[in-house]
Amino acid sequence: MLYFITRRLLFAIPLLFIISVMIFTFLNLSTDIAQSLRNPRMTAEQFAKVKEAYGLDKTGPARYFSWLGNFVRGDWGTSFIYQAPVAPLIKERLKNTLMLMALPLVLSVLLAIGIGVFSAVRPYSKLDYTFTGFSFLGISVPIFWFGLLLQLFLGFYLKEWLRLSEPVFFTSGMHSPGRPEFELMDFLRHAALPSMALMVQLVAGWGRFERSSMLEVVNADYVRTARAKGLKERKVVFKHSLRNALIPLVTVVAIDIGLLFGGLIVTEQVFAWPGMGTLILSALVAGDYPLVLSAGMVIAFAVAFFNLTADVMYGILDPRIRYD
Amino acid sequence: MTKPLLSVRDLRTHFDTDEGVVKAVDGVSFEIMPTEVFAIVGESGSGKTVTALSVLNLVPKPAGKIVSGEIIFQDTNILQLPKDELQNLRGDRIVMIFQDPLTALNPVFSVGHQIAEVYRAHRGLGKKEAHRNAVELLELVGIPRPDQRAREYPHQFSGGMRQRAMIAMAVALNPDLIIADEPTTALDVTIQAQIMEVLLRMREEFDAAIMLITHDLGVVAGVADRVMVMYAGKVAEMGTCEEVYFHPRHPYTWGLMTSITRADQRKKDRLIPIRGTPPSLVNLPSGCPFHPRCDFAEKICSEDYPDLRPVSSHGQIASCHFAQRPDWTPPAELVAGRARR
Repeated sequence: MLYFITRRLLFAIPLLFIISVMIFTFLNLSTDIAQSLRNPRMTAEQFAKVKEAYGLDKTGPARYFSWLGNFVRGDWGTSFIYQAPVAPLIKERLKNTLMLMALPLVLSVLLAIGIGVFSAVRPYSKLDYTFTGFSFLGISVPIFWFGLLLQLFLGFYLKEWLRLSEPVFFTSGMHSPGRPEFELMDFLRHAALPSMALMVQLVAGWGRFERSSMLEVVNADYVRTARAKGLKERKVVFKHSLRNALIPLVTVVAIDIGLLFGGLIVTEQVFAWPGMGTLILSALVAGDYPLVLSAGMVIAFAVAFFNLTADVMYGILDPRIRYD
Repeated sequence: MTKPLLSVRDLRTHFDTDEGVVKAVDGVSFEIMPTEVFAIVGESGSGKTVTALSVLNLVPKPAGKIVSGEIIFQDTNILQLPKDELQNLRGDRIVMIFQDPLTALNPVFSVGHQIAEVYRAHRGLGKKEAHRNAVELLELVGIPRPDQRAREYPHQFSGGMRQRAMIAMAVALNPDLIIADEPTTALDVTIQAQIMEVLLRMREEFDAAIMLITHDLGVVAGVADRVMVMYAGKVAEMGTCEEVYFHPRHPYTWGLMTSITRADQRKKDRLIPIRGTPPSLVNLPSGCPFHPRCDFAEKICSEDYPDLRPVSSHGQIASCHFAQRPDWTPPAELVAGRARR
């Protein structure tokens, strides 16, 4: 197992290298980075100086390798648009994204399992059809539109109906202006709506997935054996069936978590959440390549790490799988 | 006369399918005496397995349904038992061994854990004690190094070993009735005899009755006390092992006999297969369900269903219009091979 993990981690290095080359190349092809630093009042001489200061006078490969050398030494450079070191910026935004993700992730997994189990135990029942209906709705509704609906109804109208002076759920940001950085109730009131928008998608997708993997096992021979042994129905379903049906879900969830690290670009944008998503979007638009590259590396690492986690979990959950 | 351990009366188990109602078991009655080995024989789709599943009320729902009948086990009707009492009965008094040991054990739990579960569910034993008992059982059914093997997972066991583990699980609580649904079918021929031997040894050890389901008459011979031959969800013939083997009264049983391979078979003694295929259970032939495949069918066979009728004074019964004719024995060419035995 240790050998397997080490090997996989070593494989991740060339992968990350290739990804960084690709990000760098595409970014340079798509935007003229120097232009984003130009000021109309600059003389050509001043502009040349600025370019030199940022190292933009050198060739592409030279810039890439100087960035790479600094990056692996821990110097992630300075963001053009924020005029601040990249590393603390990413750290702060990553923290915000994680704060938004954590609770909805846990709740979504639990809800998805619940929905999957109850749908599969009584397939084609009214309850199953209800869940199926909601799932398709959740999968097909675009998140930006659903987010707007949430803001409108639970943010704005709810306040009107209840005749409150301030809304129950806030529609944007992480905390109210003038309040301390973190206060639990204030945070939850801000996080509620984006969390809901996120959960609708996750629960819908994972719920469908868990339903089908439960359906595969509820009629398995070993489930019949468990019943013939005289085990209680609760044990038959939640132990003998679910334990097997969880294996594929764990993989999917782990991979999805890795992807979510890229920030929930649309969700964060709709709810003005200062996370990775908004950061990357603004950096991309401005051609802020130190920021885009470093953020890209963080995301690529997260995806690779959670893919590895998925494989390791698979080996732990399924005794038939051995990594040696 | 002793009271039967299990008595099934007019059992009808039907399945709703897209094609129509499949009458998998349709009016089957039989009794199993304490410590008896009762064999149910028939082709695939004759209703053997569904009969067995019905006894534990394990017919897959919602498609399958026991529409009528009584299953009396030790004075209680299993079909009317509340859920929790039925669960107490399963795995404790009546146990079941399934056909395919490759899929009948849960792949994610250790073999010892799955056996120990029986003790924990029915006797409320603690983890350690249950595990200790499980190890003893594995030893009893002939698994070497049981202490180590108990901690292993099903995929680390061979087919024969898995079936031994299934038997261990079955006999854990000293059951009264072991239902063995084709326990050797999925195994190598060399292993089959060993597994039957273990099964019979367990029966002696624990004084249990066995309901042995098989399509292989060779397995039944010399093991079963009584045999019930099923065809198309109905009883074709039932009697003691000797009666059914040496004086079969139903042409279907004759067909089954002549399709057994034997060690002393000569080249010219061809196996004589039963022609055709088992009928669709949705749309059974009129009259006797076997008549389209029967070489001896007459006009009446396609018109009337032959009720089971006694054919010997010891209780042998057969469902054939001509079964009571004194000369109703398999024709010479069919028994040619058998006579030399």
